[in-house]
Amino acid sequence: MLPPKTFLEQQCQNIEDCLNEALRYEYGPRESGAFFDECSSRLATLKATINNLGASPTALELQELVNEASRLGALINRIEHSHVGEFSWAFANELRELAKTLCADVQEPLFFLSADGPIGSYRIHPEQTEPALVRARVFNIVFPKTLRHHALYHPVLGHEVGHAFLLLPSRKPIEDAVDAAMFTGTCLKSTTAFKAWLSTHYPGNSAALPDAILDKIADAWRVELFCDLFGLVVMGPCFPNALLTILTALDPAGINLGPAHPPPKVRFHLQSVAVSELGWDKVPTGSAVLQAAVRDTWADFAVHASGAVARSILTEAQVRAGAREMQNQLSKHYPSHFKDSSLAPLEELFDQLLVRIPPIGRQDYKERLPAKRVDFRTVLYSGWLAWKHISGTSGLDLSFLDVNRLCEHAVMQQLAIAAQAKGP
Amino acid sequence: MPALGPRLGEAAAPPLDQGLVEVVAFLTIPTRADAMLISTTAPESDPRTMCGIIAKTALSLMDAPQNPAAGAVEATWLRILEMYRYGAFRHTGVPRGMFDFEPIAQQPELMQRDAGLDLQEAIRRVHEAMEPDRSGEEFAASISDAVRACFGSQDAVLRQSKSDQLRKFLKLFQSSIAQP
Repeated sequence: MLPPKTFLEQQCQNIEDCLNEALRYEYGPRESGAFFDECSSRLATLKATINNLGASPTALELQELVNEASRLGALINRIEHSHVGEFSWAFANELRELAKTLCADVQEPLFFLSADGPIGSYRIHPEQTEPALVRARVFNIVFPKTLRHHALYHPVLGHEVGHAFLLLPSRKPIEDAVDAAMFTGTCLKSTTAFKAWLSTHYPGNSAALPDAILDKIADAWRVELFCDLFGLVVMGPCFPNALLTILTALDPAGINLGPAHPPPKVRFHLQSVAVSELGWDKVPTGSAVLQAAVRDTWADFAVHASGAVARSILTEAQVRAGAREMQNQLSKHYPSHFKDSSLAPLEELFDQLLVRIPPIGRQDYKERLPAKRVDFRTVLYSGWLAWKHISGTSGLDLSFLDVNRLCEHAVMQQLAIAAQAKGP
Repeated sequence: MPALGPRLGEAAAPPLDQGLVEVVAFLTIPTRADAMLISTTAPESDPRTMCGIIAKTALSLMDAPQNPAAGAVEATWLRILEMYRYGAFRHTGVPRGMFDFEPIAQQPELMQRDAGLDLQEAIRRVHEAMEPDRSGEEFAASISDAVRACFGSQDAVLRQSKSDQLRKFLKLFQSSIAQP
């Protein structure tokens, strides 16, 4: 047999071969060099660490380094298999720029995008939460392969950016502030109260779970609700309907729960109230058609956020306090959250969609004026509003996929406008 | 209203109110489908062992700051010290998608004590031993400066001035993390 340390050294050589092989592929619009450098650095560090183990490493140390080698191999494999064209790269580019700011670390983090699996595959593979010998953190944002052109669903990734945000220690004060504002006095802060909540709403078999497990479940639910609120404040009013659509597709009743996730209705209640608190459930000006689309969108949303379970964990006042605190904290420290001023061109975008024009805003090409950039989140919100109008009694012959594609083109156009603004 | 079991536990599981012993057994014993000779995924990392290795590597590279691994050692220690400063050590297990509804049986970290707390405690012991009069924030900042000087700076004089402090920290940490 091969001794474990020798096996490990051979694994390093194998990883090096894989890394060089992976360079033959183009897996992103930029940054391939940065990934290669980071992976090379990790490999060099792993080799140095193995060399430092001495003649008689412990079994635990060897196990740990085998794990490290496996993780590095898996990371290279995921990077290698992510191809431009399998997801909405324009949206991905925008999201990456946002996430870079929100997730800034001791070294600039790296993000790569990939497509995988069905509707529930939206996720972000964060670096492991425990310390590991890495120079820059690498985050892998995953889109469902089947929904690559459904740009209106992609804002749910704001929730996943929230998880990446929480991995960074310096974000702890923000987490604590929002946690205090939103969860103080709720059943997610007390084992006894959580047990009582389970007995009331999901009677039958929960009392036997050990307190330690119940506490971890409550902790996980708080994190999920934090990330939902984070997703809303960062992505803006395009976020809730994406969340609602996907969660409802997976759980039509909206009341199932899991160890990691609270019942969807609780999450919808949070969104509904927070949207109202942030003032995004209305537009101050605009045509009657737009006003109606906004009103109907949020009225329909509120229906899904109703029922005994929906309001059973967070009161309206707690959600409002949490939303204010989240917006306040992000404004102070990471101002890449969605801003009310981004809603200014909403009516133009909405009108363009209804006549099958990508919602890029009014551009004055005749006068050769510089093009105006529109926030991609507003583009996507206009898509949801247009769909509400189209799917009602408008009689317009546009499918949901048509609206998605028009929005996707508009987001792509924003990248062109940004490139034009930078100049040659 | 549906019962909790089908989601929190597994569909075929016995009801959870049959007693704690049965509950824990159900949550931990793999089913026949789960039982495999070789796991397809690497076992989860133990942060205590990993941090011991990180400390050992840092000590060995202190005299070789040009080593290509120095950048990773520097960034890793800055993150660990930031975690100490903010009390942010935590273990959240494997990454999950936002729409996963996996039963507890597939989430072993729910059954485990959070080993990240041991790291917080290990650094706190070193903090007490080295600079008890300083706050956690000041201590973390002071050691972070030493980490930057020893692994990220070209200034030999600065490195020399900080190396004793960092070496002491790393050795104390190694012995502290080894404590049960």
